[in-house]
Amino acid sequence: MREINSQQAPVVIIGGGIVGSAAAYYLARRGVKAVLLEKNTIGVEASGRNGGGVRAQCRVRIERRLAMASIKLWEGLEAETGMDMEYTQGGNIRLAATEARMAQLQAEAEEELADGLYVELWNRDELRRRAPYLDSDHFIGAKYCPTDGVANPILATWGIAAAARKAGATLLTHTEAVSIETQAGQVTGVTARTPDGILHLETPRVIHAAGVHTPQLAQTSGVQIPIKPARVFVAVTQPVRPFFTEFVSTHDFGVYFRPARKGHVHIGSVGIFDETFDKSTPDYALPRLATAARLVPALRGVSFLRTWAGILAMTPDHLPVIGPVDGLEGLILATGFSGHGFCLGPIVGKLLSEMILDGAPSINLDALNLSRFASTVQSPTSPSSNRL
Amino acid sequence: MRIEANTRRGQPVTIYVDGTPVQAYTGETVAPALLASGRRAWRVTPWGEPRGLFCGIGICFDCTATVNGVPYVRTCQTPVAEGMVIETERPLERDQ
Amino acid sequence: MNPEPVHTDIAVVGAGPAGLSAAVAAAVAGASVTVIDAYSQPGGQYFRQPNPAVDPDPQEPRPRAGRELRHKAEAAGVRFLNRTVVWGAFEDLRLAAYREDTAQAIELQADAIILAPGTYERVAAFPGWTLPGVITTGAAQTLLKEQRLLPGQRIILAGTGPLQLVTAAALVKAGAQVVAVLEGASPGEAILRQPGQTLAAVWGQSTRLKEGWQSWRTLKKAGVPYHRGWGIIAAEGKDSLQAVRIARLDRQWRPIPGTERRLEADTLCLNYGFTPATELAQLFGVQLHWRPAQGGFVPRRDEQMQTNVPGLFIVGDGAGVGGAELAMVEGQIAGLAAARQVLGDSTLTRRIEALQPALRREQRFQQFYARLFTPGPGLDELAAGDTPICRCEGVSKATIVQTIHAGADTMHAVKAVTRCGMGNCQGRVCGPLVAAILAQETGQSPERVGQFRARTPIFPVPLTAFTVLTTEGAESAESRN
Repeated sequence: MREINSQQAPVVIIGGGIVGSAAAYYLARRGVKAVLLEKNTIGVEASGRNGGGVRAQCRVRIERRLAMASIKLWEGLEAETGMDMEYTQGGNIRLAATEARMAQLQAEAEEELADGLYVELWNRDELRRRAPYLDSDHFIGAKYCPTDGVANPILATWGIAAAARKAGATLLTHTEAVSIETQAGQVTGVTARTPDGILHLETPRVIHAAGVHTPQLAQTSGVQIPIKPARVFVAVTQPVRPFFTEFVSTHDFGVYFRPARKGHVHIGSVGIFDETFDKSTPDYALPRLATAARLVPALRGVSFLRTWAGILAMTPDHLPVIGPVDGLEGLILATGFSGHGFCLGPIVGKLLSEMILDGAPSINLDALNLSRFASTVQSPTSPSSNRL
Repeated sequence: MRIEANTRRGQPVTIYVDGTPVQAYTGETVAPALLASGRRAWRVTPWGEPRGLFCGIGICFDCTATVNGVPYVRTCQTPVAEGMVIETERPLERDQ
Repeated sequence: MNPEPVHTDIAVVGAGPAGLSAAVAAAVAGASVTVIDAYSQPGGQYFRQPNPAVDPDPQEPRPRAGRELRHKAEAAGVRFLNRTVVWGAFEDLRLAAYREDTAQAIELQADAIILAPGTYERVAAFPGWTLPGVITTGAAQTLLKEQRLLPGQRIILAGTGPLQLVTAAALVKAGAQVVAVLEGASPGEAILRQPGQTLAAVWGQSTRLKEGWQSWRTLKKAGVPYHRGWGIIAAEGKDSLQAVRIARLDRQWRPIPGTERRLEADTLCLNYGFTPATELAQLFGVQLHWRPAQGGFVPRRDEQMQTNVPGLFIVGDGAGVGGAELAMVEGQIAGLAAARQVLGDSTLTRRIEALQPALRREQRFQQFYARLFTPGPGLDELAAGDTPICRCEGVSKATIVQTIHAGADTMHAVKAVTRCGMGNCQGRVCGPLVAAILAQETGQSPERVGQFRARTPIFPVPLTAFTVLTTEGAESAESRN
């Protein structure tokens, strides 16, 4: 490394995904000009490699609250930033192939309605009427949420990042954070590797939002985060004449599909936990993606154009880790979204800005604190509890 | 233009391009038959550009058409057959 | 739904000179060989066969040579899967293919695989290059040789290399009016500067020299102008090509101001060399390296044409552009080496070694040839801001340049943000063009810029083709959860 460059920053954000970009954006709008470090380019990991679902239904209560608040932000985001994100509210259909699944959807609907989220339960006839493109022999019913929708993952992340830059944030790409420095239980700085040499940033606050790559760096400040990678696979068809608007998913078959703006249909598989960082598509993922053609007769003659894999950051309870770290002042985590992070990106970014500017977020996030995995946290001051 | 000198052709067949009959010969692929009928382009991109043959070896997908109901078929790689129905590609509704 | 994958000792992908030579060598040595090829008749671009309804027994040297090689292969028991595209490559030397005429999905498992995928023609983006009537020289060759059809009435060829010369002569012989042939390079100068190297390189290349000389004479006799150091700068026309603007080029291939001329034409044939097709190599995890004289990124290979993936060989222009003669020598070596590996027959070693002098002779010629016909940087600067770079998605040069400067400064990021390379051709046409723009705008070397990453499927295939694959992996992966 040729040179050492030293700078000061009020906040350093690690990770140029949708969460980090949104945090930079909401901080900059309130006058805090953070420095965001991204080891590659913006949005090339999980934020840009997912199904693009923006949904509030079929979530546990804490995530539902976040998703509902996030969708409020999504509704205004394109106008506010002037960026095209291909956001639409085409509805979300969760299918049930079994009585047990249907009962689960019914229970969920009660909670959702109680929380103010409008959803509908459809029986088989209603499903046939509302989603005639599905081969409804496979399903006995569904739950539908009209305010859910989709956005283009790449354009959305890119758009939020561009808006952050425009509002005054500094986005450093091809800049990989290699350590978080601490002194007496307080964050003091971040060291990063850039194409031109080593960069040292003095800072009292770090938002660590590096997705599946979070644990390794967190360890440099003595923090253990229980995150493991899982892969999702997405296939894209050639453009077809649009015949549906909804994001449709079924856990019974392990696939989802949704339309994209130019007529392509994206087909995704739920995560496979093979704990690899490989982004190629293995042979065994393909037959499952092809089951979409069984469920949607109109897709039978349609060709796949490409597939890709995205690496999810999975936590043991499949809920994100958001909030400060006990015993280490200045470090805030926002990671481990377990495949649910894209929709939540805007609200989490906003809440992170509130933690820094207002001392506390406007939605209580205690349930998502890292301390819930008590046995996995290694306090920087007591390096004895090192159990995983 | 078909080269006539010292050239045999296969059996004459008729293919239909957006309903219009076009003469072709067995052994030919669709794109050359369309060129021989005087057409230079048989596709319109979503942003309105006319397109026809470009690479000729099945790589560029510029010459595609809907053939017997199958979309995005490379006409340079598809042999003609009697009664084949070719529909030229127009921008999808949403793009217009 | 999931039949057992078809097993073959050796699978050969591509039935051009390299693939056919490899198949013959391996089958004669005793291996069971299956050749998979995208076209309806084996032969590839070089041995292109006429449509059988037009000419069932071609007498011209190239189609005849190709036919003889195919007959040798058939006599040795080689099985051909024609009109079959290979769209996926997986662990344990497995290939996923789709037969287009029968709509059949095929999974093939082999003990060794020889890839002979060939190349894509390198084109240039300039104002008007997407007009109907602007085609590749390969397209003109296909129309002429396979279909017995002229691509137009008034034809201009522009680019570099002897293929332009040979094609122009063939068009003239078939009765076309060739307005001009524009050769961007000035090959005469290089030959005069280095006469010794020239002699060494062309030693033993009499067939090639003869073919070139005959083409040259045909053009002279027909009065077709052959302009060295000239190139296209724009194409004009409303719904199809009507005229081209040309200019004299400097050594960097930049148009010299004040030399511009306008020629009327309805057809323009472009060829600026070739880019090796590396998609399958990429899917298999083959290490590539940057070799501009061989067309770009090419696989690393040992002397037997084997890659870092055990049992995977790559030969011919798809492993580095070198022409048909080199391709056939490489094919034979790989065919023998793969057979030796699969059959455990060490007596084949001597035959592999005996091919080394021919290999070196052809490599020498390739190096010489590449020096003569390499486009200069000016070629990549012809596009205007509103010129489409991605033909499929209509992404302009200005959009790409703006996106790069906004921070999407990798091939992947340009593709992700602009959609350039996401269309039906999967980036085959625009890939090299985008790489050149990215290198120019960021000051990075082409080697560092890289290329679009190949994704499964490497050709569009129906969803149903995916169901042929074995699903054991999925269960084991999930059971670990």
